[in-house]
Amino acid sequence: MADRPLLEARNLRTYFRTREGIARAVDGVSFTLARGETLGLVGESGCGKSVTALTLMQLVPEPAGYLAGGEIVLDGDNLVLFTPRQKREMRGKRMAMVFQDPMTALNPVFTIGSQIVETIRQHRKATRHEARRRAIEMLERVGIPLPEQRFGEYSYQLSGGMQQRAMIAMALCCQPDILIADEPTTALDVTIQAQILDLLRALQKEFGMAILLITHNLGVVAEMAHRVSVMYAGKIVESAPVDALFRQPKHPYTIGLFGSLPSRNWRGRRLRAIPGIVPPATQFPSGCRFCTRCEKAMDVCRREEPALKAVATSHETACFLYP
Amino acid sequence: MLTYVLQRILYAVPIVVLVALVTFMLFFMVVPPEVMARRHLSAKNPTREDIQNWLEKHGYDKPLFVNLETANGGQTRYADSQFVRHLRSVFLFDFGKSDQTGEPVRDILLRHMGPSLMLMVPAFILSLFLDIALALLIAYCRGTYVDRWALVACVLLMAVPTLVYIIAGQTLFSLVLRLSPIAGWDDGLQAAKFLYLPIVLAILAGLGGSIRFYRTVMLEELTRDYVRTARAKGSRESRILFRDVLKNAMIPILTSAVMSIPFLFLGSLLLENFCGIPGLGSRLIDAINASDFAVIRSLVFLETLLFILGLVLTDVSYTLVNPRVRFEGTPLNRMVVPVLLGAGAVLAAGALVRTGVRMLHRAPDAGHLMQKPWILENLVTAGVLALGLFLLHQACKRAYWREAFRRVAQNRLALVALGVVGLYTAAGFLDSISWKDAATDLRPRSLLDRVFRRDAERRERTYSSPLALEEFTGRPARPLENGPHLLGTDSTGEDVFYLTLKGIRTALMIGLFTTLLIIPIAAGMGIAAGYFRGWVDDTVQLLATLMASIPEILLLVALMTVLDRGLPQLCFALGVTSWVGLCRLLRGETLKLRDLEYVQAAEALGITTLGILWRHVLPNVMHLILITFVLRFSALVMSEVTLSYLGIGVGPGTGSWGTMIDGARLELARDPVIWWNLASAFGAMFLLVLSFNYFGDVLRDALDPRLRER
Ligand SMILES: Nc1ncnc2c1ncn2[C@@H]1O[C@H](COP(=O)(O)OP(=O)(O)O)[C@@H](O)[C@H]1O
Ligand code: SF4
Ligand SMILES: [Mg+2]
Repeated sequence: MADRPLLEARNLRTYFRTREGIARAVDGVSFTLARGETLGLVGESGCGKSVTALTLMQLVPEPAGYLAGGEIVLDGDNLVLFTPRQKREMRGKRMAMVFQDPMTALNPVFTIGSQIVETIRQHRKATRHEARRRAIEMLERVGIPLPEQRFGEYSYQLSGGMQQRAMIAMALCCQPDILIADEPTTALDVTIQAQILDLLRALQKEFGMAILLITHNLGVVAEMAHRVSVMYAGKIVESAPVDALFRQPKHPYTIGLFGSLPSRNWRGRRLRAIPGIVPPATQFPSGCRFCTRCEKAMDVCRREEPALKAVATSHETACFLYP
Repeated sequence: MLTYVLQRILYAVPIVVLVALVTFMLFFMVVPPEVMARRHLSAKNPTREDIQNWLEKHGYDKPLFVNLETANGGQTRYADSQFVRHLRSVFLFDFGKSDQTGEPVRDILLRHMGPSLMLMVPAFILSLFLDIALALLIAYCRGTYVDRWALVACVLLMAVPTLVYIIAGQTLFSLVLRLSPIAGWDDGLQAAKFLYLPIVLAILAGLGGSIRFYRTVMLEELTRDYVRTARAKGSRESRILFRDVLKNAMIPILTSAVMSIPFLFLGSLLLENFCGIPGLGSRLIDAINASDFAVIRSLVFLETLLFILGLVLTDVSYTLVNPRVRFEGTPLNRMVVPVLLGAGAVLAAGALVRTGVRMLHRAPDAGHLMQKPWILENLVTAGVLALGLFLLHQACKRAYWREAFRRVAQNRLALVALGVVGLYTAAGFLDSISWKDAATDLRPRSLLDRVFRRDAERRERTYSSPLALEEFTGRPARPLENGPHLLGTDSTGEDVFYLTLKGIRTALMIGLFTTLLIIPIAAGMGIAAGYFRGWVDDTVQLLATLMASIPEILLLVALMTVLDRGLPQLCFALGVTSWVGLCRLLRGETLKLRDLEYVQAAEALGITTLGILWRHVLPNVMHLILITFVLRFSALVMSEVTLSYLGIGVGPGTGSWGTMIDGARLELARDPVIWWNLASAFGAMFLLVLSFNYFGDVLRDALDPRLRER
């Protein structure tokens, strides 16, 4: 069972009940994640990236949101079938998550240290003292200077970069197999972004966890990810190893993201704006969901939905241009 | 920490000075002393001499601010004025002597404080724990039917005025179940047996509102990102609620709780009065009945002082729960202009009202006109109707409002509530159009009178029960002269249904006119503060803080005793006490609006400031005004009941539910019980308050842009 993936998402569908109707925020997403691998998930804002992450964590806000179908297989276990208690034990221990804005994601009225200690004691049998030692050790690992002192401080006393480091320490303190990072650097200064990314890479080497990295910054993907999945309107439209994707993007949406001409230097480059906006999740067009904005749209695109098909080894895309 | 506390206290100083000014304005400036003297001495039918004596005895004969008269000794004592005396008395905590008994006010306060505290402190602590526990439980069950029904229960509990709780509680526990003595007092621990019932009632009366507030706070905290983080790290749902959320929620909860500590000293006016507890609340009622200005004045000042102390306490306790201490205040040097302007505004307002009151008293004709204002009233009614229709028409032109109406219309129950409010409005409207058609008519009769009772003087001899054909107490029973009465008749034989209908107009007028009074003040000040910022903002903020620090019920009592009872006075007093909330809300909203692009574009285009405020800012805050009005309305209607009970509500002769409830409360002790008076007035009010509250909630959801998304 050596090549069984650590995590496999099969045909995930997460819908929201809204006043305007059912929002199909995530609609048939499948991917795999191997041990120690980094998968980048990119797409414009509103494509359903965060909802995908929350679905994996089984944290979709109920009762508005619900899982309409799909399986999440983590190391052979289907998370969807877990009892609430099993889900809780899974979170933080086997799969952990880092959020976009550390400022609001940390509880303002508890010290950084106590929040980490709480996580440790939630999942491990540890005395208060041991947990404290471990928390301080984690703070040190994520590069927070004077960890003993920071341990007793509140989140507002830390800078944004330090807050995010503390978040990462909290996520990794139980050594999860998977770290989901939802735009971990978007809320930070550019100089700090690079530091956090370096830190994540170093920690990955050290702990060996797999990372699902959600971002809309192509530079971050180029730098961090082994493979990339491009998401549009609740679906994955293209999936490829990072080099292949950057060398030969296939899907018109991906090409649109990169701009018209491929360039060798992707680092630090932001997504180019594609004309129009992502349609709201309640009113996706029928057929190919990109057809309202696609320059190459054909008749068939409005009638039928393209499925993901291999166009090269481990390079898949969902577009009628590639039969 | 110490510097922080000191700083907070330093900031309170200007407010205290201004409060001293306000009490001075209220009790010395607004009403000319002769009028006060006459009111105070009215029972004894005073002569000119009596009045002069009274004035001299209480120091009202002195000039207001500066004494320019030369005394016998030949020297002028400038400082021998009412103003200086007042300042001296309040700042030295020597509150002078009671106008009524001559006893030093300080002794009165000390003597009556104990019983008040004995009632309020246990009630406060118990209800704090109970409310938080219940709110946590409800928040834990959020989304289930427990939550839904608890919310319904809260709304229902909130629509019952305290007075009704007390009457019902006493009847049930003391008269029917005989669980506790109905009223009384004893020294020392013996008093406990009299305290159970009022404590339970005090807890009950605040239950609905507190739980609803706490629940909202907790649910809001539950939507925060840190809750998601806690879930993501595998925390138990109960642990998240009882640890992470609770500690965050304690900040607003403690703030509101600490703010009410100063009021514990005052006790509860109604509870003490009903249960015979000799606390400050009862004493205040005595003072109201005797027009004892000295006692009321001292209480206002003292309570405000305590309240400001409470604010400081809140801020300090804030720092204990919330590690994030930041002192937010204008630098002291920037306070000079606002304080001066504020003082000027207070004195100017006093002078203005004084002139108004003087004129009314000088010109009895004008007063006469006010007594028979039916032509004016009809005009006002028509005007209000036209204004309402105009605003509705304007609103329908805007997509935002149309969308909101559409959303409201989707909710069936909201439409029912709206229908109920519509029926009430129709009844109030019918009762507002009146004219005299025969010389024999003593006063104009409204459409309602004409439809409902053709003959103005038709009434039975005494009680009849609902739907009865015979008198209720007459022995032997005599058939009624005027047929059956749907809801029975009261002690004077007046039809209760008719009285209830008459109460509608009063209730609506209180809600409407108070609002009409508040909106210009609050909107003007709030928008100006938010738009111009700088010293305008500082001044408005200072005035708002000042108004907010004077306990509402005391300010109402003070205003009504000084101005004398009556509907216009009541609206004025309620307006004065309730503009602050809206003002602050509008200031905040304007601050946000002025940075928006279209406002800046308008500025760049050279549109005048007034034009911007009128066309770009005002329409964008209209929804807040409307929501505030609708949600505030029921509170206004309910406060009328309390004030009428205290004898300072609408004047006699104006039908109101408060007067009805007040009049009916003694009849519950009769045998057989006369309950229908109370039940009708309360039922009518309950339905209105409930409809308004429900409709208001739905409307808020429909209008609030934050809630609109998703
Ligand atoms: N709680 C929610 N209720 C209703 N719709 C939601 C909710 N959360 C997300 N959505 C919808 O799901 C879609 C995807 O959102 P999201 O995953 O946050 O996008 P991304 O993270 O890619 O920017 C959006 O169209 C959004 O409107
Ligand atoms: S399927 Fe058609 S519309 Fe969709 S991306 Fe391909 S070409 Fe464009
Ligand atoms: Mg997102």
